[in-house]
Amino acid sequence: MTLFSMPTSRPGRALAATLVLAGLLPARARSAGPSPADRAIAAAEQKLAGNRPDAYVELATAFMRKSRESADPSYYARAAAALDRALALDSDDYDALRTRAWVLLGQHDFRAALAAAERARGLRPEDWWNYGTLADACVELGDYERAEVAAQRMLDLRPGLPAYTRAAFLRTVFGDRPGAIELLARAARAGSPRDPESLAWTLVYLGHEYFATGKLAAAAAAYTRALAVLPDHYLALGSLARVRAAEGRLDEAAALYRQAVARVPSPDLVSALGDVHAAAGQADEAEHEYALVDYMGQVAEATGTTYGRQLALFYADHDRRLPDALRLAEQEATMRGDIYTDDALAWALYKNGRPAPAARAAHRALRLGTEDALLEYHAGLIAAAAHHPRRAARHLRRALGLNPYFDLRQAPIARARLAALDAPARIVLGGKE
Amino acid sequence: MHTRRRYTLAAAGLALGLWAVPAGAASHREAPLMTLDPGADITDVYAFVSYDADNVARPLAERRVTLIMNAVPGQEPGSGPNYFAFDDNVLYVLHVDNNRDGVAEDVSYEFEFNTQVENPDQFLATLGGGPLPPIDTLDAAGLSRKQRYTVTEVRNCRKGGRKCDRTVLFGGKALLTVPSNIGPRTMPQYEALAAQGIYTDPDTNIRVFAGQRAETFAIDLGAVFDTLNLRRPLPAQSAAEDADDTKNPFGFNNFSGFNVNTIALEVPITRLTKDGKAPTAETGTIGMYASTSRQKETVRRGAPAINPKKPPRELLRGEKRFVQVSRMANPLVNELIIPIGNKDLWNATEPEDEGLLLRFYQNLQVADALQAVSGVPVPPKPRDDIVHLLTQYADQKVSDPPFAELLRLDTTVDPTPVDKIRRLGPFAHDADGKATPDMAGFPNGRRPNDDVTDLVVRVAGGKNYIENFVGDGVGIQEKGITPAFPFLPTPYDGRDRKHLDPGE
Amino acid sequence: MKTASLTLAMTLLATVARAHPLGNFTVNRYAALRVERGAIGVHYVVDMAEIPTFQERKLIDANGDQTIDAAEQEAYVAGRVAELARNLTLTVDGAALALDADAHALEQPPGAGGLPTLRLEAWLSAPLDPTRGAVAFADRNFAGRPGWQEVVAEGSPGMAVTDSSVPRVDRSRALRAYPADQLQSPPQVTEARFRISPGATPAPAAGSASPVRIGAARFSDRMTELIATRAPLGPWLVFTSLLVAAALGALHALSPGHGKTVVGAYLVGTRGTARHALFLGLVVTATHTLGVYLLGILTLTASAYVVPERLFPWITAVSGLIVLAIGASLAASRLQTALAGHAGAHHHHADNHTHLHPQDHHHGHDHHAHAHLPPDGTPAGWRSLLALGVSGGLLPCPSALVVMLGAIALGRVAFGLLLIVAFSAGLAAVLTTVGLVLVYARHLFDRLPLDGRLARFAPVASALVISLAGLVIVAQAIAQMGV
Repeated sequence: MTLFSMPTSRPGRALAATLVLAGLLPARARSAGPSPADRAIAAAEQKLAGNRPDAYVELATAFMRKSRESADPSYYARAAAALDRALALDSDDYDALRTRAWVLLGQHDFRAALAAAERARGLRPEDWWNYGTLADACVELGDYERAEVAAQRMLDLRPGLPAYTRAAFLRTVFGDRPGAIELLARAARAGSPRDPESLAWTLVYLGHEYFATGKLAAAAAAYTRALAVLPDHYLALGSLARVRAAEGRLDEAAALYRQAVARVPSPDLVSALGDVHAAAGQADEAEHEYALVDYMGQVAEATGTTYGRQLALFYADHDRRLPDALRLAEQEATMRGDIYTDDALAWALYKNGRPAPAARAAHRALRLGTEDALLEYHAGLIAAAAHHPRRAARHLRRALGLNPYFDLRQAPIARARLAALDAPARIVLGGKE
Repeated sequence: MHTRRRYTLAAAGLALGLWAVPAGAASHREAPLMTLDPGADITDVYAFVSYDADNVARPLAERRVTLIMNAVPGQEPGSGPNYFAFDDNVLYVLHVDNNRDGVAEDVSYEFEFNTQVENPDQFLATLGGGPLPPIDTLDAAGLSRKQRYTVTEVRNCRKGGRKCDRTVLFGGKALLTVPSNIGPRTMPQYEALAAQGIYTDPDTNIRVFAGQRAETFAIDLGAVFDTLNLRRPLPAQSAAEDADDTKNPFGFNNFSGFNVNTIALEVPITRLTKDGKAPTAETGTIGMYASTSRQKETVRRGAPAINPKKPPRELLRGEKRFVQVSRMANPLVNELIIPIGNKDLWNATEPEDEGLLLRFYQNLQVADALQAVSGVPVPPKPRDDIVHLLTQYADQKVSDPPFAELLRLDTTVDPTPVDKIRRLGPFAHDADGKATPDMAGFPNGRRPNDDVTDLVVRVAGGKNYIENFVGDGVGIQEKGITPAFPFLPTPYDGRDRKHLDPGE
Repeated sequence: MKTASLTLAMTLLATVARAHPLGNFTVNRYAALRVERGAIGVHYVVDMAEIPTFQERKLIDANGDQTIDAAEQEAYVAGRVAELARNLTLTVDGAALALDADAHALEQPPGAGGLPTLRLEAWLSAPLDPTRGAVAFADRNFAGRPGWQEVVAEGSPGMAVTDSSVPRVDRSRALRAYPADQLQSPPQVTEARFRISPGATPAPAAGSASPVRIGAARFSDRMTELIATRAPLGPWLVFTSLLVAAALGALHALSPGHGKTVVGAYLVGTRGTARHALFLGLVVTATHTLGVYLLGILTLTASAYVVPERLFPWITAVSGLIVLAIGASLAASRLQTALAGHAGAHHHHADNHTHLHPQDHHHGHDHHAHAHLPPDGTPAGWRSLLALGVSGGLLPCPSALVVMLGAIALGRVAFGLLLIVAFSAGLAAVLTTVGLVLVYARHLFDRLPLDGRLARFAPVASALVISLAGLVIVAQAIAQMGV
């Protein structure tokens, strides 16, 4: 007779106990063990054998967490695949539908995200989640009114970190940075050490708000707190580097940027590192970094992906490949309608010697009354090129007044141009006297 | 051979713009969507006639009742440097129904917190011990971050809640939250420190405490939520095992070694009864729940709320409006009865609207799960017994409204003295299976050491499960029963904490 | 329109271009540990996507002349490998082992748009003195950098690896072929812990010489795969699964046991017809299926009190006893008949017939075409057949039980039950075939002039074989109980 042994583990006997326990423990200093997202992925994978839609939705959600943690965009595609499977099993699965909007946002398919969010909201109008995805999609498409309505509904249904951060962003674009800071502080308070990535993200955002108003010390404090919550967080590293550079501590800035780039080599981090080298007089090193950004653009083209306006701004800022800058900015403008896309288009048009359409785009960028030094700076130079010196001076003065450190490379240019614009007036006045 | 994958533009450009752009806007679209809100997350609610020796000895008219809500769950004690505190932006409220109409707004207690950082230059929020003076008072200099709170009693609300009688208790004195138990060097006499956090109002005899305590909820969480994969194939216990409140027969307590934040309030019963007199059979049963709320915000500051076609439930506090974020009364309702897709909605609704959700109680899916996993039959649906137990007062007929998910406490029942407390309350029995009920336990109110997991499982499973003493095998935790206010044990300290693993 | 043509151009380009499968800025890492007597070898691979490759080129192009010659490349690899090795820690019971690079290799396979990627390979080894202990390995290279991070560990014929936190076999063929399944997340493992001891690593399943045996032993794995498949249960899948199950059942029947001997012996010894053989087959199927179901139910509901491992020997014993009883009674009655001699062609009817007058037997000698054979005494009684069938199917295959319980645990109850039926049918088919073969073979025998006492006692012999088989079954059962 055949001998046998009874299976020692039934199918489905998950590592639930360990994983639940792990879920209760807050993330500590970065250790080589599995991250919270890794654990979430493992837990979700255990449940796939049942072949039910909710298991795939859980997997998709875990992939999204991983994408945030690691800044690896390939996880968006994985999340999408998992949701496809869930929807293949049940095309009306609500959780899959609402999560799909989120994934589409990550993939920058904003129109599809909007449609998905609306569909989910139609199914469950009382679910706060859908107002989050709606608000996000509307913002990207430039429909700020609708975004405000969605964000308000989210605040009404479920106040907390996700709602506060979105409302904070809208306060910023509507020109109320102190109000944004108030909400972000509240959001940071509501964060949990058991979800360190969200908390760190919020603190970085808070830091940006401080930086945008020239409060370097407060910004640095926020970024440092973010690093305490999630060591090696690349956003925090890059942002802190920017503060150090603004403070003139170029060596520290370079080191921090390098650390950030070692984690996630993104065009703006690499470009910023190049700017630091340039500011320190290290032209060769700077060029090396810029060449890498060029290369990234090449790779992106080769793979049919896009860095969006990051690359357009890089080219325009550094007067390289200006036609590509414009092309990329125009491409972006077909997919998004937010004020920062308008601004990138304006800047690219300006650098390509087309001040009239640039002025129109810059005007659109400032339509909400946002108090943003970079927007003002671009508008200023564009106005100058369009032969409106007084307007130009106004914009430049505003820019420097809002944040004199707004960009390591551009701020000195702004100062110089403002001085030049002011100088003729003095000469005239001096002459009269 | 490489397996290559192609990306096409049509497949939506990759999101390589994840990062916050130093040159401008933050990537708000990547704003988080998952929400853990520990400060507003209520883990447990307790309501019982105080069982300290003094209160046991008092006559009924003078007895006190303790109401407790726990929040900020799963505190790993060693979580420096920030440790744990209540959320200043959350309003914590204990609500009482004393006229059996299911609306628990007859008497409420509101707790509001405010943290001050007294010494922003101090690099660690808590500095003490070793060469420095240890932290031995709640307002020690070494505690640079101090959280104070006020307690407001609210009665007699009218005009839809806009006008109420509000009394700030404790003479308006700001009370101090008891900080987290960091360790023996920083806080060498933690219990003494914590005792300073028990405030008594001599005029009203109300006592209050807010601060960190050890978690008393004992459950084999991993096993229970691994589809009832309990550590004994048939999780039945013998009468002797079940009657023994000193050992866990076969489960493992996942909450071992964790702390939680506690708000505990002890009030004389007469303060809660509807006529202000000693409780009687008529007036002695109260219903209660706890809630956390966040203030309503507008996207634009100062703007009126936009387009509130159907404004969600609001808590009004004078002119301020709050949105309820979490509520709790009976244990394990949200976890075991309300399905996943409805949990957020449930948290935002009022207990008295539970009539809209009765189908979840009647269809009790957890009972189906029990039957599927163990094969032992459960009572047939609809489970009106569950509906009655959790949403009605004892004398209500099953089909009669109101249905309110409240924790109901009969204050005329004598508190059981500490040495006689049984974790199974009314279902307690001796080693031979003979019933020896302790009527002061859940579902008559809830005490911190009641084994609600076993009780809920048995009530859900019905006769067969009750007779076979089914449970998760975990009924007690190592700190035992705390005999005095606030009735929850000293928290595990951050340095020496231990979590017991299965088999230890 | 400009945008449209641009889009088109990029799409066209995209169809030609290929990207690194894991993303353009990943740095993928792989470490394969192999424990041998006296040394631990580490095969370490780094696969950089296009962008980090570009960054790396600065290191390779030491003299900055924008070209890379062989010397620069060699110098780079040697140096880089040394640097990478420094970030690998390998310890045995806490004591660090020094890793030395034995060999290295560098490739630059083309990636997106022909842009280079980088594949750096190193073979490292460390001397290993102890033959027992706990080994820990950690890779701190490129910490935090997104990418595939995989570690595997295996032993060798002289050294066993046990209690390993990492698998033996990798999923990427040393970073040459990443799985295309989007739902499989890349491993993020940079550490490994395992124990070593001398000897061979224990094989994952009990090996057996007979290939049929192996097939049967892996039956439950394959069946479980069928059930555990994530693909939705379309009709085609169900159909093919049932076929596979039946095939596996048939295969299983070919392995020793399941009463083939018994059935065969019985049918030889009686005047069994094809119909009997078929009936037997049916009974076995039904009994086997029912047996699995019953045992499954018993296991599920009473598993605290009844552990199936304990049950099986008892069932085996019962089955063996039934067989033994049938065999013994047959042997006894046939012996009687055989000893009773040639008294009659008349006695080729059932032994409970009394002697009949010769006058009654004038049905004709056509029935006696095989009169050379002594009377067998008992034609194939349906009751005996039933009993035999039951005994043959009584012992449910443990693997079938496993599969059914597994199916229930996975929620695929109906599918699991169907598979069991198919399996039982396959099993029965084999038995029936054996029976049919023997039935027709016997017809052949019948034509052979077999004479004498040998022939006369053949039925007795067959009955004895049956009894012996029953005895063996019981003995095995007892042995199992003792285990």
